[in-house]
Amino acid sequence: MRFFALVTALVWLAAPAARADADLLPSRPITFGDGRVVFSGDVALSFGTQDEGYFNLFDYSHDAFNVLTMSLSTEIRATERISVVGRVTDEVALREREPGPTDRHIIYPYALYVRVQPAPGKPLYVLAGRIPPVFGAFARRDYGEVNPLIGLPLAYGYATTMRPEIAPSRRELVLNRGGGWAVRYPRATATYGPQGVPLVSPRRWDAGVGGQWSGDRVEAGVALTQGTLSDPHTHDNNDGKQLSGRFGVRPTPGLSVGVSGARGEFVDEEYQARLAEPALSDTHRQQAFGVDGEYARGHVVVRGEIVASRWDTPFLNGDPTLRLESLGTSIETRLALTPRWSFAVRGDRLGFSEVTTATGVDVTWDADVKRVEGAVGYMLRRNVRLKASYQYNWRSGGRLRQDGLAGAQLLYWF
Amino acid sequence: MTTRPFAGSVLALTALVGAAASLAAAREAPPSAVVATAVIRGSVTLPMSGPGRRPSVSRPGHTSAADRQQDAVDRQTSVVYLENMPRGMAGEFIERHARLDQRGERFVPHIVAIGVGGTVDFPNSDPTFHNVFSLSDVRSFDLGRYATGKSKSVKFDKPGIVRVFCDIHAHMSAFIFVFAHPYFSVTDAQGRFRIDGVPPGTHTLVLWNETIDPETRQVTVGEGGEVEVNFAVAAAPAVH
Repeated sequence: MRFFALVTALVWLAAPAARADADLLPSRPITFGDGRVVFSGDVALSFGTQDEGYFNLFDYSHDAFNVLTMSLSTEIRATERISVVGRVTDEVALREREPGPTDRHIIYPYALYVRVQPAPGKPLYVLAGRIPPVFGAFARRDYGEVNPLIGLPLAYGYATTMRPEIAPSRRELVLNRGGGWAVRYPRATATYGPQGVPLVSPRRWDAGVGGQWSGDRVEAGVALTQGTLSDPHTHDNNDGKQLSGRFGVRPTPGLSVGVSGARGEFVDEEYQARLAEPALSDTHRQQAFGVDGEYARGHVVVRGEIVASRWDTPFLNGDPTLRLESLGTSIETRLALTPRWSFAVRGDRLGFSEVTTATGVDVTWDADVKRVEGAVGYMLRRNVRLKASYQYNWRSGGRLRQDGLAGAQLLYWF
Repeated sequence: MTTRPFAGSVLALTALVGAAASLAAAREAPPSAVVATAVIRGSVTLPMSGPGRRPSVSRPGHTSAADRQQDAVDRQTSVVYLENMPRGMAGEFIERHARLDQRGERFVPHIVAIGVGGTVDFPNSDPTFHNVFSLSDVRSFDLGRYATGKSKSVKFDKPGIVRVFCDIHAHMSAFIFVFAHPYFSVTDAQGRFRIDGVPPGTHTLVLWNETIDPETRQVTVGEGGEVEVNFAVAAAPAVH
């Protein structure tokens, strides 16, 4: 409720700004101290059909089609070259799930870092704290404002059965196929478990230090952080750092291409300590490689992204460590039909490598997923958008193999 | 100072539409005798700078600090105009063509003013794409994305205020004022304005700025005279 109060207070403070803009709510960021302190906000209200198959899970109680998300961002400029940047986000689940978790209302710091520009006039920035990711394209977008659909790409928004805890056995691993919404170990006794991780987490940022260069045609970033792409952390959970980076080029103003890479220790040290040799001495990393591209011309934007991830996965029962792989590919396009109306569609696929079970059967370690989502957008005002979306999912395993979801989203930002 | 929402824009829009109605009446009126016109000049003093930019938490290079490097043209932020077309005067538009550049992820200048039937060019001087659009009832348009060195134009056939945005860069905005008479002036970098050719009589002078409610003054000018009007706007809340 404190967050609601803070947002309400800021909106009230900003009300005089409505004079020129004829807005009931502010349409511009709120500034204090001669522009040295800037606040902006985003609100996204998404409401749709129940996601029975957990295809769009943020966490167990929150999914992309039934959530109210409110973010408040700030930039405090201490000097011309040093700023503190932060964002706090509040997510409110709009539907109850059974068994009912108690965390339908979650407030968390999305970003909090110090940004230093070492050389005046040079587009080089050094960041420290809970910093923005340098990997890939989607996670670096400002969600809500730029995402033309309601769902996230599968590589960023689908809970796989991978966990930073160790699987008891290879058999237990594949028994969870298609059940990333609640990964249960051991399967026979547990009735409920934590959700698995996506290939890249878009909702939590990692803590560490990084540097970013953004020139007219070239941009590059590198970061050393506590967690991994799948499992970002504020505090280190395994004495291993992640090194990630991205290099992008823009040969023409309408075309940009980037390649990304990341490598970091994935398994939680509490579980790793329970391993026997030789697995105990192994490194258990998540390694990822990404390619992203965007082409724009006239009223059309096309974006594509590929994320390949590999986790070195040990087993408690002594099964040999496996390299479990996953590949997420997505392509989306947005077409502006008129100044107010737009249409967008995204095709998505998430595939998994095969493992051989104890009975000698080859099967993917998690169930493959395919998705198509289309949305119509209507811009009520510059900073108020309405989307209506329909999404259909296919999965090769799990309790629900296919499901269609319809939803609407109202976005407001200032 | 408290105001009702919409009040500012409704007042300004009413003034512009009123001017259009006056223009129609003037065109039906018999030709008036030739009189020596006057000048209204003065200055506008505002306590604040231009609007701020949204903090970008995910793109470190996109900072609000860049907005502080405004050039002189970018400080042209107010419009001063006569609320209605003086009776008996026909419209002779002094600005039928204007240029709204896209430079440094800003529209430069922030405000342009033209007459009805005028055209505004939107050149892109940035190395990145821009996508100029407007949702205004006066004139809605979407120019799509285009690159450095390219320019597109829009003609404005109705009087009113047209708010312009970039679909890619949320912090970019500008205003186009379309007048049905020639008695308007956009302030210069020092906040000065000058309206020439004003017929003798008593007129309502309007100051419009994005950050305040429109201010009006009754101004009486004689034949061939020059009247100075200075707007000193008191400190307003530091929000945009």
